[in-house]
Amino acid sequence: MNLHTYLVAVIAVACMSALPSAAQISAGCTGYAQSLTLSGDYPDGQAIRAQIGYGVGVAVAYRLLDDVEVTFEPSLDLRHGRSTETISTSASPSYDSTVATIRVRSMSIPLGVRIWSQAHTWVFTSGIAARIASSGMRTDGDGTEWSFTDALSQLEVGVYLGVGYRITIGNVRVLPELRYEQGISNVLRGAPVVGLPPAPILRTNGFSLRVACQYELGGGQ
Amino acid sequence: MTMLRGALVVCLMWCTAASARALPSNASDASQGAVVGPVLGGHLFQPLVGHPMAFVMSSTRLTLGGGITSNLQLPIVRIGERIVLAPEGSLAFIATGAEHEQRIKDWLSVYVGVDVVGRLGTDVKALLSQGVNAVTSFDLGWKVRAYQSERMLLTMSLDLVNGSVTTVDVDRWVRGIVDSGGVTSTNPLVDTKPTITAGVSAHCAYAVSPAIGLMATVSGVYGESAVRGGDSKIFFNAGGNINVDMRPLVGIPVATTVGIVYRQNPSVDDASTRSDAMVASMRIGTTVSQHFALGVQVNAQNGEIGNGTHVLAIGGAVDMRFYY
Repeated sequence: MNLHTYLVAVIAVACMSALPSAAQISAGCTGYAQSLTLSGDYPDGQAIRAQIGYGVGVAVAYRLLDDVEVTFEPSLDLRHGRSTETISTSASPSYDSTVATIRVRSMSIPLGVRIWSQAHTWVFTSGIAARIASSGMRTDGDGTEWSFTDALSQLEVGVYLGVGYRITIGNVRVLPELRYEQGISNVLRGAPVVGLPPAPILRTNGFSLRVACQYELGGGQ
Repeated sequence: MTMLRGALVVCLMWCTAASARALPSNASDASQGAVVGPVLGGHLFQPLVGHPMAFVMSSTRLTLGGGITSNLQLPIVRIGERIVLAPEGSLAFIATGAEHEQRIKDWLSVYVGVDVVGRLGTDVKALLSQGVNAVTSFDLGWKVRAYQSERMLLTMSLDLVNGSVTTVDVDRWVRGIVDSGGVTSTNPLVDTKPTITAGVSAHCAYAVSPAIGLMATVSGVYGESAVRGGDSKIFFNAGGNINVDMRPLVGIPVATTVGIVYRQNPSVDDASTRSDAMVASMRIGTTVSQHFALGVQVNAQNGEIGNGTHVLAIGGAVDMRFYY
């Protein structure tokens, strides 16, 4: 089953679950730009710096209590980074030289809660961010490409917290949100990877700026 | 990088704080507005560094401290059959930290924190034998209120600590050079390993009277070994403290807090072992306001620092808390 099939299946399940209790459901889409780095084991003097990645998917929220919602936001996700090496010379200050660029594509499946403020404008979000890896690619400075898809963990788990603000336009709500994510599990499964030490451990962490646009089925509050 | 990430998350939390302040208060919030700090049963609880607060509230912590050991019997440095050093020495360490906790609801708060501890050999022999270790940690936590009465508060928290341990192990590095005949990438002088731990804690605060308060914490932590190849293990921590506020007794806004905590930590030297530590602390602080706490703390720690070496360390810290 490829990623697109996963996504269609998730959307279908989300839509079906919305039908019985429409007044408590909001459904729509989400898009985000993220600056997630991979921190962990590097060779001496090297690091992986975050570059801008992005994602797009669906956003479903179920109102559990007046001020608490359960959210489910499956999306297609790209993390983008560059592997750098610190160069020191006597003639100039040390600087970072790009050794390679790294791209990791995955299916992101955040499951969390939204806790609304008294006025239902500001919102605190938190939850678990799971990712199913799809592909990993390293491109060296000379253009050589290395796939490390086989070295990626099948399932990656992290946690997130964020703060957002609600803009209401009729039955549609727009939710800009700033979110911090911290990976718990290793992105890699322990197999050798080009440019990394033996049995490396890397975890995702960083920020994303996202916007969810949701229609409140049955009318909003 | 950890400090930068921590600062950014603290900014994020400040945004939440600002938004919370911008909201119209309901009757419940208004009634709670009179009590800002960690007050229960008329007693203003004092914080103790190393002891989590049981309260669900908005607060910011800033801590700066350090310490020293003396007459430390360090392990023998042996290269081949030759004993190079059998030293005695002293180790000094510095510690600094910052944390912000944001109350989202009266039953829920989240917190983020950054702590840095550096261990320094104060003489060449100590450096050669023990190296220089630095431990940085970035903490994320969620705290929920489980039970509250007029005098007692029970809360639970879920903590996630993303840390890294940096060692400069001259002894191991030299041995590696001798064994391999040169410097190799698999035997670095400076070695940094990331570790992550997740744990659940239960906290209790009990106000005996307006002058006396008790706090206790028990936690179970599942964490990675700082040594690659080691299995993750479960570690337990427990601690408690008693706090006496002089203001209700004699009108002087000074409080004394005495506490003890037992910690199990993953060893940085051996994946199959852990290093336990017992820390006794005493803090003298001011109770002049519910909006902030300022205190000076002295710690005595008896613990293992690796290679079976136990050490008694004496340290101190200046700690500030701001309550919102």
